[in-house]
Amino acid sequence: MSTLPLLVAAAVPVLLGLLGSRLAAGLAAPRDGGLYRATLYFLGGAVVLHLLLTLLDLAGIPWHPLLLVVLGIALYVLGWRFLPRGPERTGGRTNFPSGLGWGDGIALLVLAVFTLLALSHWITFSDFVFHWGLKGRRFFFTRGVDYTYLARRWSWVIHPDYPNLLPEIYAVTALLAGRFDLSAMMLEASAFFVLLLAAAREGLRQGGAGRFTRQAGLATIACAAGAYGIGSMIAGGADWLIALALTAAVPPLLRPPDRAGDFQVGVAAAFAAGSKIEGVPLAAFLVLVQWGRRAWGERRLALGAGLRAGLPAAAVVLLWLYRLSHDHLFQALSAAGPFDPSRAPGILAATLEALRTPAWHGLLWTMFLPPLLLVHRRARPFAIAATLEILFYFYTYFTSISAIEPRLFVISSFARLGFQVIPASLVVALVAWGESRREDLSGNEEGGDKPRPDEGTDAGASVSAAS
Amino acid sequence: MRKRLILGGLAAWAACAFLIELNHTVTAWDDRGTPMGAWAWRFQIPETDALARSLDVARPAIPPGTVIAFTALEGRPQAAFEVWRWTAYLMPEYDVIPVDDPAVGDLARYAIAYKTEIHHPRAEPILRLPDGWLYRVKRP
Repeated sequence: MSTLPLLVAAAVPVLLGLLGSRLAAGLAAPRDGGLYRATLYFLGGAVVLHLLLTLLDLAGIPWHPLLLVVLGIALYVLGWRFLPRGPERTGGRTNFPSGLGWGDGIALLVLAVFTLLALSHWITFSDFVFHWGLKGRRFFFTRGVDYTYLARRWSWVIHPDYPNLLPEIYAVTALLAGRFDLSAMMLEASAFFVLLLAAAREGLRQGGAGRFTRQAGLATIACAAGAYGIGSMIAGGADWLIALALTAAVPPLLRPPDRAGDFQVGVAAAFAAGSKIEGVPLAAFLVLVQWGRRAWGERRLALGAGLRAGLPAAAVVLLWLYRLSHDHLFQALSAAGPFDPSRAPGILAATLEALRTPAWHGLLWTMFLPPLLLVHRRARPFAIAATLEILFYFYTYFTSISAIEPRLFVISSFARLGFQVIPASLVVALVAWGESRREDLSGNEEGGDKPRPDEGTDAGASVSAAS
Repeated sequence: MRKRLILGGLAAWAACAFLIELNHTVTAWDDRGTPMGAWAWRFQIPETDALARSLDVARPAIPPGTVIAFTALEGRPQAAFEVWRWTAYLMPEYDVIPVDDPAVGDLARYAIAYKTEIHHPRAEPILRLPDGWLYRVKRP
């Protein structure tokens, strides 16, 4: 294990965050905590990187590391010069507005263990070898997305039609480090976990959950994700990115629609769309929900709000579709056959079997929380998007030609698909449950689960506005 | 109080799940010398280390960008598929295709046989690997 690639791997998320921070004026709300802002900035920077690399590919320009550095600096300086600064943070503690607690300690411990195991390469995802890492290594050598390679007949095994954000991050890390280092890529897998927990923490805080709920919720999410991540060995896969995108979309979906929320949902959707094929419908659902909320509340969808929420994902998806069409890479989309209801018994049996996946220890059932959350008014926007995503998973089982015999298809994917929605679903469920006993969250809570005066929760404002 | 108990119980359940999986993982690490099928291959085990050693020996003899036909004898047919994918990962600067692919005759310039041999008039052995052979594919 050498030091330089690890330093570069640690620096890449920070640099992407710095790049994304130039979008702060539109991306950050005053109530957002520092960790959540960092998460949003990373998502924004990653989307900018993805679009930049895609445009370089379109222009036929190889990804020379020096070129990437110069373009990154140029974009940062242009953003610093011409884009307005972000809003000041409100509240006493800017980085940890809700204070640190025992749940944070457990989450840090889980993160440390996960990182150590990831750096040992012992929990590296098999799909990292077969798919994500292979593409990253190839793109590193070819200094660009190798569409010719993806279009080869025998490349069907590496999902040539999947969006390429994760392999691009791997390739850029390797280009900056001078070589493709597995430990460096595993360190980035841990970075995604960090950001996922930061987003979950903020969702619990902005949702108005009490202190004990926040700490217990964060500990639960960290341990559940850590258990599955370690037990099923998924370090280095793109499912972390989908889970991160959906969790990052929770705070804006929990509060009434606002200007920053539109863009936050838009960037999270774009990040999901660039990450994996399941992220494309998720992006559509997130954007449609935000548009629907705007249209419902204001009796019309203002152009600005529509663009803030929809444009980032549209840019990612349209470029992706163009490359798929141009290089004849359609595979998953063309693999959809007619809806076949006769598969239902097989899918049901396999789903019940997958729900007993050992590494989940029964917690996989929580992926069905979103349909239950539809009855809760404030959770409903999230619940609609997440429920549609879950229905999309099942729709795939009923239509994909790969699932003609559904058992293997369901068994090999269902637990992992659950991982994509469980962290965000737990956040929203805990927020909704915390609220069920009392409508007034302005601080006059009963019992010991009340926020301290210095915690800066703005749940009261959120609930009032939602009402 | 009941809510705290339930939340605390949920967190404790998840924490136990994490500790159980950690224990399984550490135990598996201790047993990493135990032979395992290609479907369960991972980094840091003798099988993948051996494959990497063979490919490292072959690599200097093959120009980058070349199409390589690959075959392996590793138990059941599905296992050969997995070994092929591991080889593709370990040799990203090449196009590695299965030896039974119809395009092999036209495209492949080299062939690697891992833990097996290729007996074909067009396959000329040029290098002994730690666990296999590297062949040059002669033009018809």
